Amino acid sequence: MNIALLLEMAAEAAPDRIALVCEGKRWTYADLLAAARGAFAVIQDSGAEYVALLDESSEAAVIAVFGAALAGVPYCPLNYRLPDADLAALLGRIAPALVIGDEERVMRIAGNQGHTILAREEFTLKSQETVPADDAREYDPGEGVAIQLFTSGTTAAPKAAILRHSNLLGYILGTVEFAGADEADAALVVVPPYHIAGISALLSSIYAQRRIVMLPAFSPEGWLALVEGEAVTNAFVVPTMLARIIEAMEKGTSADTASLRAIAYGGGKMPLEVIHKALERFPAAGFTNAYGLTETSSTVALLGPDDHREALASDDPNIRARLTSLGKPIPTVEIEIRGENGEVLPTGEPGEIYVRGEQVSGEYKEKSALDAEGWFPTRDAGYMDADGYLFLSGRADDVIVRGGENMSPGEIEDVLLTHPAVADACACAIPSVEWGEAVGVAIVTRAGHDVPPEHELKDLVRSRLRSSRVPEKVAFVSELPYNEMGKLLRRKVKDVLAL
Amino acid sequence: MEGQRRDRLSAHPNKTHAREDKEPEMKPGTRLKSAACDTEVMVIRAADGQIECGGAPMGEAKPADPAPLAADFSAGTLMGKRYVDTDGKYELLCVKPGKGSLAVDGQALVVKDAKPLPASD
Repeated sequence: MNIALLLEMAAEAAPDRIALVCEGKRWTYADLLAAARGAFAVIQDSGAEYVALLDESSEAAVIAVFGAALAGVPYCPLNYRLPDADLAALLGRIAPALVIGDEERVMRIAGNQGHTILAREEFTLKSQETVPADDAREYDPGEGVAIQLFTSGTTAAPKAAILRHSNLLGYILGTVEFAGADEADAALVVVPPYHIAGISALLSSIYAQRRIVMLPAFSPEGWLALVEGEAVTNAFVVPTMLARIIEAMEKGTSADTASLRAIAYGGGKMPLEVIHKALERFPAAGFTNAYGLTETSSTVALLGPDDHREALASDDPNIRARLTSLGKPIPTVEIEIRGENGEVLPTGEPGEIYVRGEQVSGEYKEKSALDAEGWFPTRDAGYMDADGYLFLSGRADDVIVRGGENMSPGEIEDVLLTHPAVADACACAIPSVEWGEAVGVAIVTRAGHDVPPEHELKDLVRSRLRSSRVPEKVAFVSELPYNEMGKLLRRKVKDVLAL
Repeated sequence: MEGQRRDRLSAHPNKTHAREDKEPEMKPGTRLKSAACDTEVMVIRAADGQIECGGAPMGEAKPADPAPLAADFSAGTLMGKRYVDTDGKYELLCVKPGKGSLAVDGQALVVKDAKPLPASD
């Protein structure tokens, strides 16, 4: 099995249909397949063992992912935001590679590692011009690696997560209907190419034959202009992007967004306020919250459009709470919540989220993290309610253990966010002589409000949760640290609270 | 593809002819062609039964003389549909449509119910 099949089928069924729009240039499925075949020959000739991309999204990302698949070489998009030293170390781990993108930088930081380096335009042009020998096409034996992605590695060296062709095809064939999109459908892709959501967006849109509209660098104005200009119907955003889009609209940026039928989001916790505003701003759009990890080939649980509207309209607090959930496991995977000793926990009990399914690789280059029965421990903490909705409380490593009692930061934050003067909140463990760990919180005061008195926040937590959850330390900060994907960097908050 | 096809053919010269022995288990990813129509499938899962299309055995190469399309197996295949048996032992992805319909040892395969999800990425 080979993920190149996805593009081959699209090109077979609809060769002349527009597959991709990037910076005004239009590519048909036949164009992309021809270039991917050319890239295959370029990759083979280079003798590279990996194909790396050090660049923003462009047609080169699409050509490279399928070209690498045809050549049977892992595709490894790299985070161009990393500092030179970190990036050089990652490049060293995949040498010799064909590196596409920032030629000058790769030469400077990894010029002696034996890589073949091609600037974006050079790679694209060469791929278009090269025609592989007719019988050079080879299929993967089935268990080959399609994608290698380095994890962000905040505490140790980044791990190399690998996704096999069989994982990715399992995901696409199991969740996407071939040619299921209307000819007018268009998906706006703005997630960086080194993120799993950026890769799965390409694969699923191509298999569905949904035109990909790429926005290489996000800005709310650019996003809105592209939605109008290309009559975009589907879009995936991370929460911070959605917040910035709404902010821009509130400040007067206007665009015709009537074509938007589906907005999916994921990659970080969505503030309730943002999703409420979004539901109002885009009344015709269906919202989907997607939960997934690199190691699971993207989405494993989702909260669909009907769930969103039902939760918004309901008076039942349990149904309203679904807006903060990850939704339900998709039909092609299984999810369990397990305790510290690996035992399966009953409904409602918080523990670690485990996932199993064809799309779940759970594998690193160094070793597989799957257990003997194929379950992947996500290191995400959460629980499932009686109706089967999955709730995320944070990373398992973020759980606060106070005197042997496990507390998730999320439940404390959710309570704090109900205070009118609190715009954002982060709870994390602080050292405690008495308890080992105790609760510390960092609070961002809402604009136009006075800083709320500490005792008010403590009383609020005490009135809603057990007294053990009451923060021992409260710090007021101007903003919380998020990464470019909207993930809260709790370690940085911990550092502030430890002062 | 061509290169691989030739390799396989030279290793199994009688592959596309009716044989007395069962085929070895098909490897996932193997592409099979119909002898009776244009249908092509990719094997997702298979056991050691005979995979057929339009009433004739499928093979990695097309025979020089096309087989007749059996009336009982002429409902056609649809591109991108997955076809399965009732026991879940076989799953074939149609990568090129045709007039024949798919079967294993004479038992018709059925379209696997797609569970399209809201686009999530």
